[in-house]
Amino acid sequence: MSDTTDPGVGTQAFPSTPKVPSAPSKPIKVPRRSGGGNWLFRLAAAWLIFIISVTILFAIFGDALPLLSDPTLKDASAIKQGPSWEHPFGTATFGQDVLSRVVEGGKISLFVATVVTAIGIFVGGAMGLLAGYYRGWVDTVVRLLVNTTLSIPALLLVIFIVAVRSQSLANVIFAVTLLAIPALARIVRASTLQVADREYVKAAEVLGAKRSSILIREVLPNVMPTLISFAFLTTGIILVAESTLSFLGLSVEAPTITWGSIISEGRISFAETPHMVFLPALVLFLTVLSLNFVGDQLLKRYDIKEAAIG
Amino acid sequence: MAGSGHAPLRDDRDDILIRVKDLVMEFPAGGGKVVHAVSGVTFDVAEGETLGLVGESGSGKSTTAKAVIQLPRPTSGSVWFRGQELTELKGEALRKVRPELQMIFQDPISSLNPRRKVSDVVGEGIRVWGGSTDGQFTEARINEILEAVGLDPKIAGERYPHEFSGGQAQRISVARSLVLDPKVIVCDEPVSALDVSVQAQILNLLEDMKERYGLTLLFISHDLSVVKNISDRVAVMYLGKLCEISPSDELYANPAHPYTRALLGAIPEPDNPLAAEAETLSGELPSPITPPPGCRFHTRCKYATDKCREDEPQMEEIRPDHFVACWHPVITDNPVTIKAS
Amino acid sequence: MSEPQLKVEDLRVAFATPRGSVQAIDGLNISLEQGETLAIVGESGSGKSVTVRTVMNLLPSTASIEGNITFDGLDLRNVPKDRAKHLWGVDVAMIFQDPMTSLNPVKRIGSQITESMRYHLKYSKGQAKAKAIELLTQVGIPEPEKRMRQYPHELSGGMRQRVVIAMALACEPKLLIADEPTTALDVTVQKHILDLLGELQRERGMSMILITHDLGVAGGRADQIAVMYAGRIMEEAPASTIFSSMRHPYTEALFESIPSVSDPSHTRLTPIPGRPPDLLNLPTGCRYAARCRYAQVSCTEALPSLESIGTNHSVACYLPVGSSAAIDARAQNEAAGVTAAGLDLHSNMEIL
Repeated sequence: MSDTTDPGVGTQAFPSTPKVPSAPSKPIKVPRRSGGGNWLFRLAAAWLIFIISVTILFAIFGDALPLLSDPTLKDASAIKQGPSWEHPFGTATFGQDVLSRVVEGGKISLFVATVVTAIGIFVGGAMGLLAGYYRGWVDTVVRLLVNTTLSIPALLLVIFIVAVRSQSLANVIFAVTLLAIPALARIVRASTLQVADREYVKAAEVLGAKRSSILIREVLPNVMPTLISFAFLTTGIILVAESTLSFLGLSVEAPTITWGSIISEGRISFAETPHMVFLPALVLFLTVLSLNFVGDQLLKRYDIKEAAIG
Repeated sequence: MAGSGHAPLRDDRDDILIRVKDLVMEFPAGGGKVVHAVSGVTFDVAEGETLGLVGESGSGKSTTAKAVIQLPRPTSGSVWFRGQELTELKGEALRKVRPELQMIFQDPISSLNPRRKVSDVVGEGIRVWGGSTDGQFTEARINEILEAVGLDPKIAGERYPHEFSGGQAQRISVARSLVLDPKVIVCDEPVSALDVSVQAQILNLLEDMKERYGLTLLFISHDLSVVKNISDRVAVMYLGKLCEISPSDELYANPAHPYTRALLGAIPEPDNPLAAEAETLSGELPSPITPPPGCRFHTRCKYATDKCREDEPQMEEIRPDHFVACWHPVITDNPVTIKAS
Repeated sequence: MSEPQLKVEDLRVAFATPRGSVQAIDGLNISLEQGETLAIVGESGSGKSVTVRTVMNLLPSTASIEGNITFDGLDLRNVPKDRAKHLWGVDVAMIFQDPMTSLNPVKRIGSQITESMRYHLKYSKGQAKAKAIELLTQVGIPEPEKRMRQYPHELSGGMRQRVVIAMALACEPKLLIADEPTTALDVTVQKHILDLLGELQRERGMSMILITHDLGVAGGRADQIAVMYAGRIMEEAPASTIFSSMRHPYTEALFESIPSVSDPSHTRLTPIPGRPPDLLNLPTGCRYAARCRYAQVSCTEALPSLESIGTNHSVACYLPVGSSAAIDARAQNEAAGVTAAGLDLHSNMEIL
């Protein structure tokens, strides 16, 4: 998903056949000597630090930065100007500073992506874990839910939700979350199925451990790496999805700004003011790219096969 | 159903620990078909005995042993363990007997959770069932067991499974299975994934642990030499049925079932006197979805007659404590010796 | 004596890993005559597979290779491009442990066998098909015409390995390398496949390198057996010699550690203590010294080289089994309870 200009809403906002790393049966080269659990925390921390630092930095210091002004401040003397020292990203239709708008929009866009990913991981992850571990009727129900949701065209679903309800922030989050949950549930289920077949899970059962305890102590820690790496990828996808919604006029209504709405606004006068589209799009692109990169690295790192020698 | 008979049961003995009767294990194969993994197997294991289960892949040896410890519960049949009918136990009642029945798996790496320290892996059983309140007993027990399996608890306990070699990882598995002081351990091909020089270490360790902790073993392997070495009795399985069961030295000296003879003939030793028997083992293993009628081995047996194709042979005692299910068993007075190279 | 068909001289292979350089092969010499079978026996990590992969030119680019390999007078480390196209898989063919690694799951057996003949030997479709049916018959596959139209998953493990053998033989190789060809198969099938390989080799006058961890498998099938340990050949001898009069302590210990069907049940086994050395950090002296019950100080100081001690028999050991020096060394170690290399002979604790 490095191609951020085609987020693919309308066909499907989430990959329907995610590449799940095979949970390794061979020795896992857990990075560094500090051992098993720690690096998970480091990764989770890295992610949180990234999201939080960007959002908080913008939220707190954004207003204090000398270059930033009120993103809604209209300046008739500086309408649709190209980038300059005073306005590094140029100005918008009514002379608003585009950089300030990107910062303000980022708050909302990142907030939506983070909240959706968090809910998606919590709910989708739980569904996937339960389905993959308990199988049987639990699995049947979860699969039914997941497949039903994923087979409804994503765009239709979102239009329906937003139309029936209203274009509020909560509703947009609700709509996108509805798409994220089944996608994550599916990935976690596949990973859980693999882990649950491992002999150490059988061994815990033989020892007489309770099913719930096995799920939490044996299965979950081994599904976590997959879950966390997909969390990064999902955050990126949500960012793009939200922007697409804005672009189509289906996201949060003005005056609330998101990255998508800035790009969408710029599109109207694209010939005159390409900077209003390209610069915010670049910010979106770099953010998604770095999220994907981190997610990919995590997947790769986890999926090391034993080197065959001898 | 036409089982293979209850003859091998030694009901006159009072030290029988496990009695398996008419054990059947079937799995759905999709399209309404059924895999007949185990079809009516009867045997018993005395306390302190090691029963070896041999056969090719698809023989049902592993499924049988796992069904004994209800992993999963068999489709039908009875598994009697120390006065309890295991197949009737459910939920909490079954969980309560689990500590008595442990298992060691084939893949030493995959059987240890990569994200838990060795002391946690080995201590899991104590965590589940509770040690003493001050935690002293727990630690002492883990250390004792680790030392018993030849690992230094101070060093090994703090490490993660990926830091160990295959043989060492298998020692950890043995330690985990011993921590709850079980009666029975199912060993599912525990040395197949190990190098030959390490195999001997683990086989010796199992013998030592059996002695020290008074264990009864169900030992599954496709390697006939390994099975002979560790077992008191050996049961040969083919396509979900028991072919032959006997004390191990007797079985290897006087193999009576054509399939047992073929297996022994296939051992790669230069002057194997039974090599010709393996030669005649023709064709493929039939599908367990549609097993052949009569004797299941008849499609590959050179001695097969019409009787074999129609009627299923029952277990019969051909020598003291030596049982065979075959219409044409090979009974001679000349014991076989497969010379080691 | 004429030049051997395959000659490997002082081969050294190392792999770069994040943790350092892994010395997989360290000074290896092999010479194989036309029509001969060499079995390379060793445990995992001994370098037996890396050896043949080097010959097959299958090593990844992270491997650094030193030494000479000549096949039929051709320098295998510098093969001209046009010759290379028709060398590996044609003159030198290989069979792997898992037949599925050589089979394409979505192609019919027939087209997989005929493909190489059409490409390398420029056979017509009809010629290739006829030859493929002939090959399948030779490797003992019933109803070859029917099998030609089947996919790999429709065959059993043993049948798949037969197909792989047929594929390897399609272009009439002069040298066949079989890397644990029967390890993934049942014992009964193993025997058939090994017999088949032996037969085909005799008929075609082909040379063969058989890689195995099983001394029993090597014993009945090979002319010459090389025992490898930690990247080096410890002992090499004709099959009959190695079984009757092995001279290397490792070979001896290996034989003792294997349970034998001829021993009564519960015969106490003699395992080899410890485990092979870390290839990232090899000891200075003999690679086996740390586990050897004969080890003396000299063993830990310098690496013994492979010396000839009889017809086709060489051993890399300062204290070959049976020599008076070895008998003294062992007695001395037994008395001390510990070897010069620090192995405690009476402890069953793992060295961590």
